[in-house]
Amino acid sequence: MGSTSTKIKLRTSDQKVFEVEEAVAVQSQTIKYFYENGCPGSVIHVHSVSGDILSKILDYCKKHVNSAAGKEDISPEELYEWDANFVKVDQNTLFDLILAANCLKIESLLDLTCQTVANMIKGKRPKEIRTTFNIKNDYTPEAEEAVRRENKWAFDMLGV
Amino acid sequence: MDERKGQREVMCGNLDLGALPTYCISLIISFTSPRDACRLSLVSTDFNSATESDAVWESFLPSQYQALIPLSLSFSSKKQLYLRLCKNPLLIEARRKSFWLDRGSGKKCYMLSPRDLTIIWSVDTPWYWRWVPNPDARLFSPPCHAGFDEVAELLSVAGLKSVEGLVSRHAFTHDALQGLPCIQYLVYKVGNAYGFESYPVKLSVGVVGTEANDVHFPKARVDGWLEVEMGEFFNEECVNDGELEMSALEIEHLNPKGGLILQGIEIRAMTPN
Repeated sequence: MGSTSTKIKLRTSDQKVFEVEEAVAVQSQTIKYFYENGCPGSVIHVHSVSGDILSKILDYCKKHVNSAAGKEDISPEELYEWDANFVKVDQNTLFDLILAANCLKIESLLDLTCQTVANMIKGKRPKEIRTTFNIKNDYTPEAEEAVRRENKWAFDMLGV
Repeated sequence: MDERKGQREVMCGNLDLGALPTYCISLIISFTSPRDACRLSLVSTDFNSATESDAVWESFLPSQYQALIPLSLSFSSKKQLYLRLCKNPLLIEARRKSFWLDRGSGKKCYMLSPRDLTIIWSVDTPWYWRWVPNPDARLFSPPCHAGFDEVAELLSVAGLKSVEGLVSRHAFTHDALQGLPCIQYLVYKVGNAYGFESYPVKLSVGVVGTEANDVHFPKARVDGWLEVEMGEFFNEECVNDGELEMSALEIEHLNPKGGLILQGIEIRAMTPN
């Protein structure tokens, strides 16, 4: 941030190019690594992330960098609220965000998105979870029964 | 430890939860609860392997659990260790306190043995209270008796007065109980009791100095003992010089009573479900 903000160029899987402030881009440990170990000024390819998702992720990073640096006057509660709204997206987008946060190694975003999915799972029956997330039950009836028996206590309150 | 699986092609459209890298699935599960994790194992075989992972169960164990478990305790996975700490309480502080985990939530639970409590008329007056071997010492299975060697039996006394306990604040630092509302229970049995005919017994109980006059009715526990709620507290409160004080047991009618066997005071975090 010293010299009026150096920019880093990022190219996404759909060939969109973003010019991003250094402080924002290096929130991603992966980008930070390539930036510090690559040729200065070269474009960093973010193969696994689309332009739409990267743009959202950069919004997130910018918000958090600005708030941490005191550039934006935002209380912790307001930031929490902002985060909560940030993850109010459809399931595909949420999963894309998880995958991208994982690839780009942005820990706080990975925690936020995984916590969101966890909240969708809590207290649900296996059947409901399969429906919600479109998961195929690949158990044989015998194997399913064995797993159910082993974890019987966890189902007692649900009456499944 | 699991390694983050990086570099996956992000595809739009038919993503499902199972398509996430193992590390992400483990992370999601660790944000649920032990009970949810066990339920999730039934979703699919992939989920089953994810819910068995050490990374998940490590997150459900209390922080610094290594310091609490004896070196001799062997376990093949973190899930096994977790379930063991739920099922087999550990006797700590010279076997005067007992510690285990609440299975559904992973919250720490403690029981203070009668030897760890201050019981009025229990010293040098063996005709009031006597120390007897715990009949259930070897039968562990919480939320149950804690496996103390001895329990206190009330032989005859006119009114139960003041059973007090102190628990070190250290027991609550950096752990799952901190900042959570807790409930204390007095755990006892009535053998050949007499003088308790006026059931329900009215107890005036609570944290020392703040005794409330709430009437709590005793409840039967799955281990055959009875418990009565003594009160709720947030553990930031009620802490005096590094110790949490709690009391007391007092019975309204001061007629002679006996036959009550006191196992101890149990402290459990309140769980949402």
